Amino acid sequence: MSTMTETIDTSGAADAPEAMTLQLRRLVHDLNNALTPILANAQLAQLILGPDSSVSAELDDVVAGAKRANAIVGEIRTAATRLAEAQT
Amino acid sequence: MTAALQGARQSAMGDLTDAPVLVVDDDKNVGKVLTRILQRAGFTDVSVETDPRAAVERCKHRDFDAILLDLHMPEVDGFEVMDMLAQGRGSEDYSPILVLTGDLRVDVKERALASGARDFVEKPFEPTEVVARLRNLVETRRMHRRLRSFNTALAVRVADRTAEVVAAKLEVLERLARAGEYRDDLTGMHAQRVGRLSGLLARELRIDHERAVMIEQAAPLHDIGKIGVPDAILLKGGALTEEEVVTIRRHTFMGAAILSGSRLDLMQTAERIALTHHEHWNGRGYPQGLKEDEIPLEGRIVSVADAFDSMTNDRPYRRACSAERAVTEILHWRGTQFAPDVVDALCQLHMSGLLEPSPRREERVADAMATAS
Repeated sequence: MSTMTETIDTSGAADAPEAMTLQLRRLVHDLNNALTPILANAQLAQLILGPDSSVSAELDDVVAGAKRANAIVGEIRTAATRLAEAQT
Repeated sequence: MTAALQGARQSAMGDLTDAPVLVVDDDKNVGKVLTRILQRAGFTDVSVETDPRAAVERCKHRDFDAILLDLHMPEVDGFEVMDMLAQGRGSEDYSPILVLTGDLRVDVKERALASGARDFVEKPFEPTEVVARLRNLVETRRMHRRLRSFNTALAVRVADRTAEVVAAKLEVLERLARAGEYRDDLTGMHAQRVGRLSGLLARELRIDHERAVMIEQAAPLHDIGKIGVPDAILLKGGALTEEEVVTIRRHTFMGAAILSGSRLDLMQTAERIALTHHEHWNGRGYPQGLKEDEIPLEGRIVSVADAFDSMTNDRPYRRACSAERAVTEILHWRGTQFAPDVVDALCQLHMSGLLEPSPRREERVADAMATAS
């Protein structure tokens, strides 16, 4: 997996729309991979501890935050798709 | 374990938790969380591989019930992994691949399905969904395997039963042929020898294997019509009267009538043989006076085989002659009584030593048949 600085090219090559699309897709992929263990672990913990757990509220916040982040990733993905369509 | 993750233990295919599962994802944190989820669900045999090539190698040595495969990996992606796995898989094998991806565009899904993916889980995934989809995949694969095993067993049973039916059919034919020969050949061996020689001649004539076998099996019935010939005529020692000759010649019609009306190719072949094995190449045979190609090939073959066997074995009214003498005699009637190509085939068999009576003859005949088939 690449790091975030590797993913976002700051050399100027990203000015090209095709390169920008590709970079956005890589960014989406890496964010997805980063979010996956956060969301899955938090949901797994919810399932294990149940709704009456003393950390239930905290876990709910983690899940909600991860889902919000996932929604943002979805918006970036949509933007990348529109950009790709505009190129064709 | 939570109730929501207990699906692996509640399947129509029994407990699925012993299913070997392989997770292939270059992100080790994804592998870790998946292992944790699956173990919490009861799965006891979960392996993780971050190197796709190593995963393919693993699959060569182990039969996984499910492979959870990331699509987007550096160097070797999930599509290439599926292609490599497909190369090592039989066409009837069920590909147990569950794709993990954040990229669920239609073209990506179509390509993945074409490459062997069975289902998808979108990243980031929910634990209950992963377990449910994995359970479905394992269950389907086990059903597929059970069906294949059942089909294999069924094929073996069908083959056994078919062999029994074929053996029963041949035994009935042999006994029927023996009934036709019973009064003038108590051993019934004439019919069997004619069958065997007819098979050899057919193979020598390069007739296709299936038809040659059919001729060999049908030929012993050539004289089945003799059942209808009275003893007084069939077993008469002296010369036959004109009327008796007519009666004895009628055995061709009677044989064909006995065998007629069958839907089986074998019986239809036997019917043609019974009717035409006394026809002559020049049209002077009986019962219909057919000539040359009007006489079915089977009839032309059995005509030669019958004559050869009659001459080379003792009869009530004369002693057997040598194979050499019989071949010379038949050669004399080449193109008049007998079909030229069948006589040539007989000569070829004679030159190959397949007609001479010797202790090793049976062996050579068996070898020739094995080679021809």
